[in-house]
Amino acid sequence: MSVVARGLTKRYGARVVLDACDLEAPEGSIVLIAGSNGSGKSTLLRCLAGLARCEGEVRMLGAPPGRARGGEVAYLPQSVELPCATTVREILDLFGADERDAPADWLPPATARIGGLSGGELQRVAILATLSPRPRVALLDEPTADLDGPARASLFAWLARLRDAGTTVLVTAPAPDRDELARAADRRVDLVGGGRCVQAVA
Amino acid sequence: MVAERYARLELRVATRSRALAVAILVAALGGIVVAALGAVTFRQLGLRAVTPSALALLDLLMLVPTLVAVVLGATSLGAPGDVPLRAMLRARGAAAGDLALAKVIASSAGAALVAAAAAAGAAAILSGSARAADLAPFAVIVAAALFACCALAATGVAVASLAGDRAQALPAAVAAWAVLAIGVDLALLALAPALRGGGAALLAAAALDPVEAARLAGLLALGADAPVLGATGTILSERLGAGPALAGLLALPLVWAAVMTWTAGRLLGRRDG
Repeated sequence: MSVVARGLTKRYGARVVLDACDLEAPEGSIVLIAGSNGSGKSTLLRCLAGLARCEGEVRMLGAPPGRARGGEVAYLPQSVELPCATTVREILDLFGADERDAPADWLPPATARIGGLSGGELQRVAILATLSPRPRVALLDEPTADLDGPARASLFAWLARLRDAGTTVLVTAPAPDRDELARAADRRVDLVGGGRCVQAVA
Repeated sequence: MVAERYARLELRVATRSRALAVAILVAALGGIVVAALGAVTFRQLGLRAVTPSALALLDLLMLVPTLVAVVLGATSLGAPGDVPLRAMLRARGAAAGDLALAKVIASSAGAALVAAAAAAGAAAILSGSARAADLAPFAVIVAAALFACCALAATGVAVASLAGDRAQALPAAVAAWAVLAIGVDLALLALAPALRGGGAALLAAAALDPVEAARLAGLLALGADAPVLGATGTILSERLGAGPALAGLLALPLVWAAVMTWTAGRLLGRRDG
């Protein structure tokens, strides 16, 4: 298993956001994480990425969160912002991303300033920075946000290619895209009331 | 590797800011004005003399770049896009300490440009009348200013790592600069008579203040003696000798920078999860 969580619990003060969640994601799979607003989807991904402390046992590629070998776990935050004064090329260079990994017509011009990009263009730059070079585990928090129809279709095809290459993808999506993503997913984790997780194999 | 690339990106972001361009221009003009006002004195006595003109140049090089350094450090965290970018880098395996180091390097480099501009402005005026003997003290003063910039940039990043957001970090960092650049100096002046014989306390106070240490190094390079050096500088040069005292004072800001960078890394790691 690439990702294993046992009894993952996250509290903000007295509020329990994730309550003893169990989760397993095999190598080369897409796992859809679903739930209503505030159900803890983003918190779950942040815990797995090692960006939020949590209770319970979590293993990412056999190591604790944040301890996997450099570059093997990638994370795309929700509502991504990038420094306005940088260019597309500089952001890609920072992550060592190769624009040839992206679908055709995915990227705005490499010399474009980040501050001048539309929301969709910015999201596409961030997605490429996350998915290239190919990580072994990709944690994607609403990657379809701000993407138009053709870009969403390209992303779903890209995620399927990554899965076939052995990447484990854990992804959340807003309600309109959830059904489409669920069709491509191998597993589904529903975050239900009180922070509990229900996992199902598609 | 990631830290190195991140430092380069951060430096590019810093150098593209209009505020830094203005600071560089103001510093260069400041250097020109200070050197021009003291041109006659410099021509007669050179830089190896403690004149009001030399002290003004020293203060310009110590105060303006260090203020820029602490501001750059304090505002380097929490800028638009900074938090998600750091999260993406952390998930990819970048250590919080490396990211803090990258911010310190970029902020120091930005402030170093300001110090270099002030030095270049002064050098443009002084070069006509400079003697070979002026080069060494000038180089020591510029080096001390650069080292103090590293210390204050690291302080700014550490303050920002502790603060909730930039609105809290900026005033806190400027207050820290005021204490280090002016407050400790004034406190030492006030306490020196009471600490007669308390050399260790005075030395400890100087050791805890990278700006004061850098300023004292500059004064020693100018050949300052007891009245101008103050109690701390006098005790230090008497006990260690001018050369070792100068080396120690130049090293102090770098030690401070290392400690603050380590602290910033720890705080950032705790803050980012």
